[in-house]
Formats: sequence, C-alpha cells, structure tokens
Amino acid sequence: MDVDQALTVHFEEGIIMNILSRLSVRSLHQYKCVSKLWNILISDPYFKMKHFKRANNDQNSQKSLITHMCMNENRFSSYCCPLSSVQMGEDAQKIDRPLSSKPFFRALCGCDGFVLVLVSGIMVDKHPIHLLWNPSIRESIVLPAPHSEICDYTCYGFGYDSTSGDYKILRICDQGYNEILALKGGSWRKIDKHPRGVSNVVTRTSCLAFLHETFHWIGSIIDPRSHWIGGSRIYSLVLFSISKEVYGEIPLPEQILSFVGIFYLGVLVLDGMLSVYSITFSPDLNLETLKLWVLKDYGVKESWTALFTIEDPSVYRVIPKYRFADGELLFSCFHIPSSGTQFRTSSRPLVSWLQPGIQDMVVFTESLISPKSVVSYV
Amino acid sequence: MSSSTKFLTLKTCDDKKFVLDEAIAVRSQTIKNMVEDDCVSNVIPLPNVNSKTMTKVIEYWKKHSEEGVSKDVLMDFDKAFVKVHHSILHALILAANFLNDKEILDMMCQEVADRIKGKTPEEIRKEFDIKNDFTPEEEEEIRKENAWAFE
Repeated sequence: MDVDQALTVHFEEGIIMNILSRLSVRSLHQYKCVSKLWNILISDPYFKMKHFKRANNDQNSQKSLITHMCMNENRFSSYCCPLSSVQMGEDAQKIDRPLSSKPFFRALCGCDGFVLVLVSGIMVDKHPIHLLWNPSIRESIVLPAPHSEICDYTCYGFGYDSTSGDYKILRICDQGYNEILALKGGSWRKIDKHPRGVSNVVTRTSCLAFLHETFHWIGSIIDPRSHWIGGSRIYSLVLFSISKEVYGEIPLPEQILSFVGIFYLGVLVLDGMLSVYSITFSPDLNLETLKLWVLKDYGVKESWTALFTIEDPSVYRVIPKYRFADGELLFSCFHIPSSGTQFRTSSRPLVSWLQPGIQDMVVFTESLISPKSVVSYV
Repeated sequence: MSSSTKFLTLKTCDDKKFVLDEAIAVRSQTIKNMVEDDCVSNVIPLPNVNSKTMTKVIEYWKKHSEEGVSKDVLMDFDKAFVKVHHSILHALILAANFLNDKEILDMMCQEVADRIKGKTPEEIRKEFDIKNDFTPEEEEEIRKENAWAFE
C-alpha cells in the first residue's frame, strides 16, 4: 500500500467519534451539516455523553459564564469566557440569554454543562422564573416554581446525585422552607431545616458549595452567652448529602473561630477541595481582610491549610470565585476607584472590557447535552 | 534475563517481517489477547497494517518501553511523533485501532482534532473525503437550526 492510497481511508464510526469528542460544541454544531452520518453521530445521546465525559476532564472545556449589568442600563447581558487567567479577558463572547424579554437575570450555580438561572421582570422579584440553561448549545427549560418565595437570604445548591442518577437542586432560606427539586421528580419537596439555619450572605441569593455529592454552607446562631445587642454569632460549616438527604457538620479552621469582627464567612470549591474564607473588617485601618483556607483531605479537620490573604485598600467585599491552573485566585470585588464590581486576580484586574456595574460568574463545562434530556416532564 | 526474553514475529500486509520482544508487542491489546489465548504460532499476520506504519508504531512502543526515560523526554518525543503528513496520521489511527493501542489511538485522534479546529464543513469534507449527502434544502435547514454556531 503506498502512502497516497491512504489519503482515501474512511474511518469507522468509533474513530470518528473519538476525534469529534475532542472538538468544541460550536464546531460540532457546524459539522452537523458535513454529512448525514456526522449529523446522526453528533446528535446521538451516547456521543453527547462521551463528549461530556472527556470535556469534564479537560481544562480547556471549562468555561465561565459572566452576567453583567451596566449601572445605567437596567438590563443584564451574558458572556462566555475561557477559564484561563491570560485569555479570560480577551476571548469573551457575548451570548444571547434565555427569556431575554425579562431584563433581570442571575446565574446562580453551574453543574456539569448546566447553569441554574433566575429570571425576572423587576430587580427584586420574590417569584422569579427558575431556568435550567445549557449556555453552550443555547437551550433552556423552565423549572417548576418552589413553594416559598425568595427570602432575605436564599441559597441554591445544584449537583448530580449518582445514586439516583438525577440532578438535584437544594434551596435553603432564612425564613420559609428548605426545599429540594429532583429534576426527574418534577416538583419541589419541603424538607426539615438545619438548626443552624443559613448565615447572612453578601447577596440576597448565592450558591452552595457542592463537593463529594454534598452541599456545604455556613450556618450560624447567635451566641447565647453574648452580652451585646444583636449578639455575636457562632459559626459552623453545615453539610447536606444529596442522596441520603441528611445534614451534618465539618469543623471550621480553628483560626476562623478565634477571629473577632467577622463580616462574612463563605464556602466554595477550589481545585476540587472544599475551601472557606473569612472577611474581617478593621475599623482602625478602614481595611477589609480576606483569608482563605482549603481542606486538603476532605473531612480531616487537621488538613485545613491557609492559602491566600488579600488586603487591598482599593477593594472590598472580595468574593473568591475560581483558581486558575497557574495557581492565581480569581475573585470578584467592589473596586472603590471605579465604584463597581470587578473581577481581579491577586496580581491584576481582569475582564476589563466590562463597564463598571453588577457582575457575577459561574463555571460550567462545555456540553452538548440538552436540559430537556435530564428532566422528566418536558 | 535475555534467555527468558520471548520474541514475536509480526508480518505486515506488504509481507515485511518484524521481530519484536513480546513484552513490547503486548502494548497492542490485540496481540496481547492472541498471546494470552495461546493462538500465536510462528508469525502474527497484521493484514491491516503496512510496514511503513508498523515501523512508526514500533518506534513509539520502543521509546515508551525504555527504562529511565523522563516525562519531559517522552513528551518531546510524542510532540515530534505526531508531526507527520496527514496520510501517515490516518494510517497510524487505523493501525492503532486494529492493534487496539488506546494510547496511540487517542494521541493521534487528538492530533487530528487539533488540525481540523476552525475548519469549515466544506474543508472537513475535503479533509476526510466525505461526500455531502444532504440536499441543498436539507443542508440549509441544518445551518439555520445551528445559525449561532456559524456567527
């Protein structure tokens, strides 16, 4: 066989799928019109899952969805960016968001290829529409409405329960019920609350940290021994297992418990590790300090390790978001000189193309899987 | 050690013979299965692989079987290994698929994927010698459904 003959080889389907599973969702949607066979392969649920499994382990397939509202616009836009500290600001791409007739839009949390979104016609809407959106393929579905309205502090967690093979959304409120929605179940179920409730959060709605099929958040109660009005609070790291649906607790780093003047405690997942951070305020210096720890061995209290400290007089309300492959921490913060929220890393501002305003970010994986395929009722 | 080394003879479709240490040849799951099932007689025929391609495969196997080779050296070797004319690339994919060597197969499929990044559907058809079996109307319909991907 000579070399030129090999030019006309035709690959079997398995090989074509192997090659295609390494391409971006955008390219694959273009290549549906290459031939009937390619269209069938790319639309096949087995291939979509194969593509997702590979993308899930590939740094380049992790994307950030940025939602942004200009101060003078009263309308949110959304952008999709690569998750690398170098490219993030440059390769942003504006994407049409679902239900765009409604101006208010909050991306709450991402899981696999999906993002949980709240949409409403007014800024403070106690009954927003809940959407499940796959930004990569621009498909979304409306989720059922929860029983209770949005309270002062309402947090959402979104994860996959491998025991039941179902995505679940946990919704916890300071007032009202805690509720859970199994997407294949189709309606919200009220569940018991944890005695520690949910600690005050910086924004009205925020996202619970999901790791090892367990949701995590900061709970707190007022210290009964406290002498001053309002009371100091006792904090704890509360968890909720997605499949067994039971609460538990993980001890916080000792150092956090000794802090005075805690303004805020938060939890997130960084590099596959549970991470907590504290924001403390020093009135003397008029300065906020962020300290962040990671739990290197899940469940082992001794493995809490301090990782970052951020003290910058030009910013406050630092919320850690993500850790890039190069080790830099990405965070959002209120930047005093530009009087708007900004994304920064420890070394520089990022995503500077956005005008000052309200902005937030969630991480998701590029995926071909339609939200319709993970619910039972569409 | 050398007295216990077993050798296998592989015969490619163009009748070239390769004598290879069994410990290296079993990187191919296909050959491994044959050895384990004891169906190896004198010569293992490889009817789907030509000698030029097999030479490349053996080059890869030997490098990756060497002892004491650092990760960096292997990475540089792999980088150079995939830089071949696309006819050889395609032949290596078919060979790796037949030999059932997932490592080479995945590496080569990744290389093809990297090379077709950013190409238009027309260029893809040319690259893979695929006949467009859509009617113009059908193709237009699919393009419309996926209009955002073409923006």
